[in-house]
Amino acid sequence: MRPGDHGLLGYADTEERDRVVGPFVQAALATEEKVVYITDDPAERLPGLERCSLDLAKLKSSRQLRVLSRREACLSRTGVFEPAKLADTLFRERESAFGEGYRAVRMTMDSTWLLTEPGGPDIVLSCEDRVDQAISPSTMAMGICQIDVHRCGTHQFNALRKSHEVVMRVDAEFDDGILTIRRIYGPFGLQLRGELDASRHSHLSEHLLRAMASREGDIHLNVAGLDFIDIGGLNLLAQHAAELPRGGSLILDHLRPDVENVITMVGWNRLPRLRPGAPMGGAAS
Amino acid sequence: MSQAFSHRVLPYDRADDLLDGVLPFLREGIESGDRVLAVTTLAMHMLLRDTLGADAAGVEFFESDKWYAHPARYLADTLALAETAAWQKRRLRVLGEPTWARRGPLELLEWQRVEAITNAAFTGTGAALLCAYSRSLSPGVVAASRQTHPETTRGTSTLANPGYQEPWAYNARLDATPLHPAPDDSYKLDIDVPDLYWIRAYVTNFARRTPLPEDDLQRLLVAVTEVVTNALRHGRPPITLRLWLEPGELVCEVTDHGHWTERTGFGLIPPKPVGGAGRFGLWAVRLLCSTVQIRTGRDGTTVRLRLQVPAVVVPMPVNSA
Repeated sequence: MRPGDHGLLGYADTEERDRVVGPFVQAALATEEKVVYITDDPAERLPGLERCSLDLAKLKSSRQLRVLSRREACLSRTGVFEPAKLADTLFRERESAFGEGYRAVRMTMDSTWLLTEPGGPDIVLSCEDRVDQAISPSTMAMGICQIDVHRCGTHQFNALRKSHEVVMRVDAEFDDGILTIRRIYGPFGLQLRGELDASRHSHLSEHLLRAMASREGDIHLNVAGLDFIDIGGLNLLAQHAAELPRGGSLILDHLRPDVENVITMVGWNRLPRLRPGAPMGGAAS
Repeated sequence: MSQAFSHRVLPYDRADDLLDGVLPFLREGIESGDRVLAVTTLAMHMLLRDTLGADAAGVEFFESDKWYAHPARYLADTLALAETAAWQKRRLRVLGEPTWARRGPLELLEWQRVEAITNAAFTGTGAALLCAYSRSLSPGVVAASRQTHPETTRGTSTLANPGYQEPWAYNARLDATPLHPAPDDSYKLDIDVPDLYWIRAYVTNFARRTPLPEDDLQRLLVAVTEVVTNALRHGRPPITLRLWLEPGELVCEVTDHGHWTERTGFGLIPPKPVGGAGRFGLWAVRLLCSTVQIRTGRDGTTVRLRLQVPAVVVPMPVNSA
């Protein structure tokens, strides 16, 4: 993410949200940047601030950390959302940052609540422009608009996607230019991109075991971007699938047809508890 | 499992001889509650249905051309059926009419190899396999059938084949013939980098200039990666990859200076699926390619992978990258 960016984060669960928003907030506080977080939650329960060693009271009094309630930031006296007030708030916080001694401002708000109100989707879309104006022209501001994908629905999320230049996602756990391994949350599992062969089996194994340890049930592998998997890789997946508790499966979503063809020839029956999931281009179950 | 596995050849001249051997075989199976399959040509299928009458309901019919489409896949599928039947305390009984016509010399050898290996692979399954060979086939094919089947069926009697050869000995004999050398103008890559990504890029670059379909390219890449991975792990440098085109086939060869000492089976018998995913690399390579040729000895090891390519009237130019 770069200064002037106004990013959208669609998250499937709080772990995914925390893994994006947490570093976003922490990086600011570690480097003389100001954080504006619009939320009704207390600071100590926010991503990146929960169970951290920072002195939150001190950060608040120095105005490096601004935790603004919705009422302060964007609601009218009667509790109705006011796009103009939100834009004013963001503009004011940005303008004051320089005088307060900070070189940049990072702003974020979870907008899911807005989307779930009557007429919400239209309001959100119409105010994205104003938010954009408060952030984009600036060389010292960045913002993340957080959306709970499950609560807002994919249709609405896709509409929002079009109005954001940057779509945020969790950093890859492994990326050597040939294979990328990234944690995914809706459904839970890993996204694999590139090519998997013996040189990278140990990396996949490590991250797969970590994912398996953190959740119960099926693990999904989004392999839409996996161009190649070797026999040893399939073997490895089958071995880990066999270790899943209570009959869980390792599900390969969005398999490329030529890769699926190879697995079919080798025989799915030889890879117990490894099974195909959503088809290429289809939605994961 | 009370019955022992049997693998018999039924040579025949006319439909009469054939029925004399086939009918008792099928009827015995129907009466014993076996799972009875008849894998035949369409003409034979019609003849059997007419002759069996109501008994035909106890037989599952399949077409030879589809059943005998690919040696390794045939062996894997039929063996799986035999094992499933055995697990259900039934016997698998197959009348097979293998397809021999229109096969090239290399393909013939691979099917004869499968006939021989069948004797090792099906041990313990209790399956009964009867293979019909027309005497109108080339004499070499009929003669080889006596070496790859322990017994001959003649009417209701069974005779031991004196020329029968132990499967691994037969297999070794097939591989005693040296491979013709790779063409001088083949594409050659010395493999000294452990990252196989570059080797796949090289193979892809070659294959894209040939008529090899895109789906088959993925199979080739998986097969090459497996063979090179094995050479890097168990073989000895230098390891060399060569690629060339032959009429109707793309050939990819991997050589190294190692020697396969142990009797690995060379991936000819499908590994057992149960008890965890064992190593099934070389066997999978056989499933993915049209033909796999292996030669190993003191001078080193050569693995040649062959994939069919659609015929082209004018050979496409394959230029160096």
